[in-house]
Amino acid sequence: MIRPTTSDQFSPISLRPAPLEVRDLTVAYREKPVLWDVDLVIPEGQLCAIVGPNGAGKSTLLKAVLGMVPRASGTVQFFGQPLQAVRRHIGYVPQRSSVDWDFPTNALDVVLMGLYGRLGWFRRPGRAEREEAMRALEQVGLAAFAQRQIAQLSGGQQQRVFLARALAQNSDLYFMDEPFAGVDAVTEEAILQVMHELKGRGKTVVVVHHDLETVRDYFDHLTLLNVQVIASGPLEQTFTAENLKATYGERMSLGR
Amino acid sequence: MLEALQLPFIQRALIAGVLVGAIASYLGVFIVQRRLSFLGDGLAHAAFAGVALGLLLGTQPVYVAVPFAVAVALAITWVRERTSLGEDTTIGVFFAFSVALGVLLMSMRQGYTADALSYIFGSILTVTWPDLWAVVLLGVLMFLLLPLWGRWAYATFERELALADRLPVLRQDYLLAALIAVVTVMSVKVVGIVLIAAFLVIPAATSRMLSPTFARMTLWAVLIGVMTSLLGLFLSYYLDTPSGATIVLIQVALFLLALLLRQK
Repeated sequence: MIRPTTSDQFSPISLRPAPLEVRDLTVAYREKPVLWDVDLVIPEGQLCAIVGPNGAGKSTLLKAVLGMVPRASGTVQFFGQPLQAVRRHIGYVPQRSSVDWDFPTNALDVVLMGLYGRLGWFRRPGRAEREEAMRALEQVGLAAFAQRQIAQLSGGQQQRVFLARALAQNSDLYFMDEPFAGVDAVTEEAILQVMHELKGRGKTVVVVHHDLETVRDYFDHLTLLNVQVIASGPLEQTFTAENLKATYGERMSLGR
Repeated sequence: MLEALQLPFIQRALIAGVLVGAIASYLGVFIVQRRLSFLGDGLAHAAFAGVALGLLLGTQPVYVAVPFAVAVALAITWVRERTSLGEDTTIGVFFAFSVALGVLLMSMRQGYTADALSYIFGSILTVTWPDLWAVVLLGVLMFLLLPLWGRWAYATFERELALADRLPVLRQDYLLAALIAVVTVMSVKVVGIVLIAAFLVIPAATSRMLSPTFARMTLWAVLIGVMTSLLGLFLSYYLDTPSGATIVLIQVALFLLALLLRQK
């Protein structure tokens, strides 16, 4: 296994703890391990992909890290702290297919809901929150659709609503679960723009991704996962034929 | 009717009917969007067992039925979260348990069981002061919990995201189930055990078809719940029909109207 190396990345803030550090993480569904002894360090301010075959545990990794599924063992730290201490600084964009799109709500409300986490108990979003939500919708090109029912948005627009929600949350670390799955070209471009905008603001973005052909163009850092971490590190070091073969088996090659 | 309004038992019936209509429809919105309709049915029968136990013990049935139904609601939620059994199966088990227990308790009771029938089909004119106080107390509690509407809505819409934002989603599940149990028991005298599930769900289902947002859906559901309860009670007084059946039939008529008017 190729261990992540952070020592060769010179950056003025390298002394700061990594946005995400996972140690010995194991997750099991009824005795069967879905994730096995995962070690992972995500460097700050980069676009990071988590790639692997179906059933490799990519989405489970995000959910385990965010405390949405129970962990059998292991520790997870964000910026050197436990989840509870930094949860407001973490944004999550779910898989589009997991959302109930028939729910009676509009784009603006979905973005506003993302702000509940940082409002205290019993506080409702006010005008400041609404303005923030509108700005986020503008950024993803959906300002005109703020009052549109989510059921009436296209797949790509739905994905962008959740991006806007993440933007409005103004987190330091983002997790996105397959944002590029089944979206149109406009949305793909919008997602990339948002990712780069976030990177420009010094944010860290972790994306579960399935398309090997675009990994090289979109990301700085790559983690190859198949129940275990096969490789994790800067893209040019990890995106090798050997690692891909170890992740996907013999059939897969770079040229595909 | 005006002189009828002077009668204390009519006043109690009206206040209880309107309050229960509002609360049931408010919770009904979450029941409909979380697809928990069957939970209302199961809890109505838990209320039946609770009422039977109360009658057997010779106390105010509501004092026994509320804790009993809440316990069943929490148990259903607990089993659902701890096992991979489906919602419907879990509720089905407790449903059967409650009915069996209720029938057993009823049979142990000496003498006439006519009052038991009034619980099954509802009998709003027998609303007692303890019944009314329980409803008012629940009304106050629901009012205090109103600010949580947004968080409940959020977890109803996207449970995973709410979990990721560290909202207390599990605690909400238990709280909602317990509240549904309480309002179910309160609805027993208004509409009767066999009609409670409909009473909980139909106003919300009607407003669901007419509302573009969850906020409006909630508002309209409560309005429909209150208006149909009022109208149903007046009509049942004039036509001398059973109150519960009258209210639910009006609600169904509105539901059909909404079905026809619905956009798209």
